Amino acid sequence: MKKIALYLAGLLLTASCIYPFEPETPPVDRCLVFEGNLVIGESSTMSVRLLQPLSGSIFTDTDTWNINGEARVECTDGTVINGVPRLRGSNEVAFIFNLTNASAKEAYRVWFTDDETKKVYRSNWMKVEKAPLIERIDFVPDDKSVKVRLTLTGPADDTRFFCWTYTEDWEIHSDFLPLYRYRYGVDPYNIRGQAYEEIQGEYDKYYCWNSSSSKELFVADTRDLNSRTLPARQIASFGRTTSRCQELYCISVTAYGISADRYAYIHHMNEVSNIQGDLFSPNPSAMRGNLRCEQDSTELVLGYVGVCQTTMTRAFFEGTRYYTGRVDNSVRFFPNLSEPLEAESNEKGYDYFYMLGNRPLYLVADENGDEKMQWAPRRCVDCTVKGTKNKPSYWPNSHK
Amino acid sequence: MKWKRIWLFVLFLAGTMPLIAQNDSYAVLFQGRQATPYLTKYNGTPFLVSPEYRKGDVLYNGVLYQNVWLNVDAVEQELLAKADDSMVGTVVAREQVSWFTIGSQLFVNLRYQGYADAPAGYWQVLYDGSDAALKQVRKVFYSEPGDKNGDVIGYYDPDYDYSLLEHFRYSAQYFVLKDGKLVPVSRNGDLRRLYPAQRRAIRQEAERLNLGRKEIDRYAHTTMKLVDKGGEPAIRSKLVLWQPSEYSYRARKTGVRVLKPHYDEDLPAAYFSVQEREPDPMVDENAVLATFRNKVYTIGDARTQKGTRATISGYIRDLATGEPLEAVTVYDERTRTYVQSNKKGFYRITLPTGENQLHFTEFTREDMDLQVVVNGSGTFDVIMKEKVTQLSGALISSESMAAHRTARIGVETVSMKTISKIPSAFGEGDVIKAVLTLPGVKSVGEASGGFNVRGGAADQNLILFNGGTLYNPSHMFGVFSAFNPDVVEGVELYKSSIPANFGGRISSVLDVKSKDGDPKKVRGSAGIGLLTSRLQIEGPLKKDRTTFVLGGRITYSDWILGLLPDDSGYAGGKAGFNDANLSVTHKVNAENTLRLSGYWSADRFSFSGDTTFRYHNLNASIAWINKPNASRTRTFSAGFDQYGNTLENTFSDTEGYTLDTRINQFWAKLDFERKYRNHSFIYGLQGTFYDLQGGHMKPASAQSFVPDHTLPAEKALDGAVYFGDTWQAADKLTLEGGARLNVFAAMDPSKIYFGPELRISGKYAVQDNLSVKAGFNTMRQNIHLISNSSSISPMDTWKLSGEQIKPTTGWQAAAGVYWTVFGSQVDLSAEVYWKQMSNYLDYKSGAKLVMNPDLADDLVTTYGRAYGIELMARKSAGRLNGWVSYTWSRSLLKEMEDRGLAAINAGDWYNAPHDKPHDVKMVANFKLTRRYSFSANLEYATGRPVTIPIGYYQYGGGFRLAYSERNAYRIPDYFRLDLAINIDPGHYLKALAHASVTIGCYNVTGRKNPYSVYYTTEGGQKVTGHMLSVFATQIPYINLNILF
Repeated sequence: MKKIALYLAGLLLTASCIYPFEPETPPVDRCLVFEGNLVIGESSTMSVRLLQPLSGSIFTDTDTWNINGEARVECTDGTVINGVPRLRGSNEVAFIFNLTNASAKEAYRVWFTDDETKKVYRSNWMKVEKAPLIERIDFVPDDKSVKVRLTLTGPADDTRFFCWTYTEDWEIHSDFLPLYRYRYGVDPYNIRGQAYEEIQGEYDKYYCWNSSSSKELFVADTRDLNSRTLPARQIASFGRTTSRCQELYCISVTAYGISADRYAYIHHMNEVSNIQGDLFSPNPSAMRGNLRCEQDSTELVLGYVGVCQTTMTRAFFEGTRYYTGRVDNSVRFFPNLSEPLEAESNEKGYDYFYMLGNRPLYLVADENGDEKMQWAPRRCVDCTVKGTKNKPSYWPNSHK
Repeated sequence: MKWKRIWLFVLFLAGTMPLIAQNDSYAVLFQGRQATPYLTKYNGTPFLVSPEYRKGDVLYNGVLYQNVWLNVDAVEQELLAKADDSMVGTVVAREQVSWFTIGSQLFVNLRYQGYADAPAGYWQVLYDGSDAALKQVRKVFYSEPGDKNGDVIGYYDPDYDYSLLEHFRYSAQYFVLKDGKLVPVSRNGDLRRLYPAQRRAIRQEAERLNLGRKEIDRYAHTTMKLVDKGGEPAIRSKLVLWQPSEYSYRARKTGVRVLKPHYDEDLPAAYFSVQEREPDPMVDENAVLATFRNKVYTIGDARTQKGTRATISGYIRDLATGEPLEAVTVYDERTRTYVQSNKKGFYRITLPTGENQLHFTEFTREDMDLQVVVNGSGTFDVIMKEKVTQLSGALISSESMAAHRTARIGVETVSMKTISKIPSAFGEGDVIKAVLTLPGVKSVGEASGGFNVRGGAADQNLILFNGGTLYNPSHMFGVFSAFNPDVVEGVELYKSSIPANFGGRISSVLDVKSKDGDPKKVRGSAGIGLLTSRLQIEGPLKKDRTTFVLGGRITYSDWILGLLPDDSGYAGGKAGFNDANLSVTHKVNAENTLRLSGYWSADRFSFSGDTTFRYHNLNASIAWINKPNASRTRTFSAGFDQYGNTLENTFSDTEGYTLDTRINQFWAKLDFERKYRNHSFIYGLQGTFYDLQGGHMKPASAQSFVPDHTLPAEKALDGAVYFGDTWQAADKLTLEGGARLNVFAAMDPSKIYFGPELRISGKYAVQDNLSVKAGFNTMRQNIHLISNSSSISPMDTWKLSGEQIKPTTGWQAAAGVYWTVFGSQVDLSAEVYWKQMSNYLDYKSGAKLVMNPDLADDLVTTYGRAYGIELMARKSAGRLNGWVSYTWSRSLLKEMEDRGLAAINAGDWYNAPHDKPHDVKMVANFKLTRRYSFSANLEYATGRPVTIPIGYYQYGGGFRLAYSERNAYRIPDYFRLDLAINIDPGHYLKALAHASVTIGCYNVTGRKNPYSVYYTTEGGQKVTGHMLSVFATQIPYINLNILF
């Protein structure tokens, strides 16, 4: 009976299927994409990119496209701030604007001149939206994961739309802390007892760091809420068995206020890029950005450049209390040269095992009671396999 | 001596005079009308026993006539008398007959004897003692399918060329005259209950004589003999002019011979045989029933007639099925007037008294020419036989030529028989899927839930179920329709010529009616399928007065999903629905009928553990139909409809919420129909009160921070007054016109809109089988579905017209040619249409449609334009039947307002989401044998428009998609073929239940028809295109249907 039911259920499921789809789309015209968050009081970056064709377009000649030009920011008080270009590739150029002395009371607009086409693009005047206050960042562990929640409150007399990004830094350590190093090529068969040397002092590949940043643009709208506070919005999560939870984790959230137009644009962009596929998904549609081409107002220009003030808050989480990842001790082994398991290993001795990516750990008594050197794969011994030694400057411990 | 001889001679003359006089006065018996000339080809006999006349006596008009050749016509309940030298008997007027004997059987006319409540006709006296037992045999002519042996099969299938078997079935009624009162008796047990004191004795005697359950005659005789207390015979002592002497009687006049009647037990056994079948009860027992052609009928009572004109009315029905026949022409030769029967088969004609010649004609029926003697007003029901034209073994059915009967254009009627034969996913007959096989009707995909008619959006169709509005006509995201097929009686779709009594939507009206229920006996049906089961029961609450229909469906997909492994992604998912129907129809009296109906449905589905959708429909209505005479009908109806949605989202305990939306509407209608000469008028008033709850959002749990807030409710009153007329302007020309004034009043803030709607159409019959039609309609719509998904989503928003949103208006012009060829077997049609709309709502890019208090700011108004041509060939009868159609059409939209670059597609015309230029459909049924039939359904359509990415770019750390202009591309074309084999039950009339099985396969070719396309940016780094197919493989199914 259960088999029949499973068959029927399987029939139901296989009836509805998802398949690859690559339609023929027409060639992509040269289309600029602007992205920029001009932060008052800081140096900020605005990027100008070219729209890339999907793989189905076979007639596009984008490989020959280049993007370069001039960019400036105008202020209502007459100030003009020119952007310093930084080429990032043939399809992208970035401009640095120094807005350190810019006033939040003025309005600003962006200009860009495309060297390739000589077209000029500009935005409307944009007022500076005030930044929200990040009330707190909470870490809420449950059985399997740790959720990161953000609470922020908007300014009383300003925008109710917010955007934030975050960066993550976290510290990891290797699974095993070795006591010996292997001296490659010195004594492959350890005849003279010089194959290994004892590690003096602190092992320098035990602690490492990783970093990441948000891949999405998070936006929120507090119009539907009772107050201007966005309560406990989950912004990230990680499993309790993952490396983020192994040692110390830090998330740095940068939040800023945005205009209603910018909110609509980003919200729509997120929706049509991510939320698709089921029976009731909304139909996607095109949406123009906030820059227009002066010479051809009908030209499609994407992306949004906004002006804002930001706040940044950092929060740490000690994962060691919640980490549930397990060390796999079965990876440890005794390299054995007495039995010719591999002819090659006998020819090269312990060098062979080292070349395969293994590393010695410490002396351990085997089943016969003889002390032998135990080895393990490098990934379990050397944290630089999964991380880097780039310790953030603000890191609060003395690990090296 | 001489005087003695003269006196003896005079006595002799006096003695013989009555005999001689009797011989001369016998002629009175033969002066009536001729006996009914029944068709020669039949089994059985219309006579009581046999066509053979037997000698008997009859007391007619106070005179006893002896040794007359007599017989009884058990169909007409007439006594027939035949002169010695005559081949044909004549009817002896019943109202003058007191009693008669045939052989030694005594028959009495109970009404003549003063028993006014007794059924009309003659009653055989089985036993006459202190109490009496009486029996009446009544026969009815039946035309039923039979096999080679002449056995009856059980039911009539008009599509199959059976050898028709015509025969007479008879039934018997019994009465016991006990203590001077007539008591009906139908079984042996009834006899025992009449005499409880002698019950045991009766039973023992019956066992001793080995009397069977069906030997009611002998059981009655045995019982009455046992309980006889002696004394005067109950019947004979009361007979007129009977003297209560021992077995003697004499008539009023001289010449009566003393006879000694006795009960003859040597009569043929067949004389007493009884078969269980009741006569056709649909005939008004006071109506004259005309079954046969070339027969003279008498209607009315001259004694009560005043004036020289009388009104004859009645019902015209099909001989085989008993179904009412519409559009039968009744023509009177004498006055050259004619009328037509209506949908209920009812007709009414005024004739001069005296002899008239009436012709009953209809394309698919054999003509009937009836000689009618009109003595006064009365009821005259007619049964017509289907015309059978043998042409290469084909049969003509009534469904062909349907287009020629009406001036309306773009009207489709789908029978439940057709619906049950069209293969559908999971095998259940589906009303909406059947409608989708019609030309001009499309859907955006298999899980769409709604349908599009002639380029209109899904919300532009008014879907009515017993007068109530259904806002979501589907279950399980479009897989099943909201209508239980066992409860539905008929479906009509108005695509173009919408009658004036319908309004509120600008594209079409789908009018679905449920059955009234069998007035005679309780019966039902059940179906068991892969995902659903259904049950339907109907029958009388009070025979011939009150009927009910009760139906329900359930699904059981949850338990199947529950058995799936955890990693399947669907484990723990839920998807299912339930629905229930109840209707009660009560005939208050001949003029008034009360009808109550209710419908409830609930859907729920949840495939991810944190999101659950639920929606429900609720309809309740009451209708009072008053029909004071044949030319007037008044209907008052009122009801309540509700459609509600709930979305539960618990993906986050701090952001979990429940969102409810609801539409409530109260409606009332007052509709009148009036026939006057060649006009059929309709007029009336309608009103609907809307109460829309646009959204109520509340936290899903105590931990959620989502505030409890509600959008302001929208309320409005939508009323209309209408008038329409169907005018048979000439023999070949039929015009239909109407007007409707719609007034819409939105409340708070208040805003009033009003406007007229015109409905005009006409038909010209070039020939009997060739007609042309044209029509023009204007429509208004005040309630709008706001959606940005391809199909009807449970969370779509409905919005009323108001301060910021104007009503959608539109007009449609259509014309068509209809030609029936190949001996009325094949209907060909070609229709063209052009439709335009204004103020049709579409959404802006990036619009927020849910819980948006300023929703109007995110909407745009558009012009709509739709045009096309529909070609169709339909064969309605024969072993192979069905239809094939091709439609070419376009549907386009354009913003009304110039919003510059922000306008959709920069203000140019763009494809509507349901625009599919090419559409080919085929539905075919082939009857292999009486039990096995095959069905096929084929559909090909251009892929619907979609908006797809044309490129990608980096933004905010990940890849984003840039989209094309709205609906600028199309998904791949749609093609599907479904096949099914239907196995009908064995044709055993007396079986308690009949089961049929349908085995089929949906999407035989396994084509992966795309429903939608979408793109994902995986990990924010890679853009991948996907195509979602709802049914991407063959779906075999098996369905068991049971009739009981």
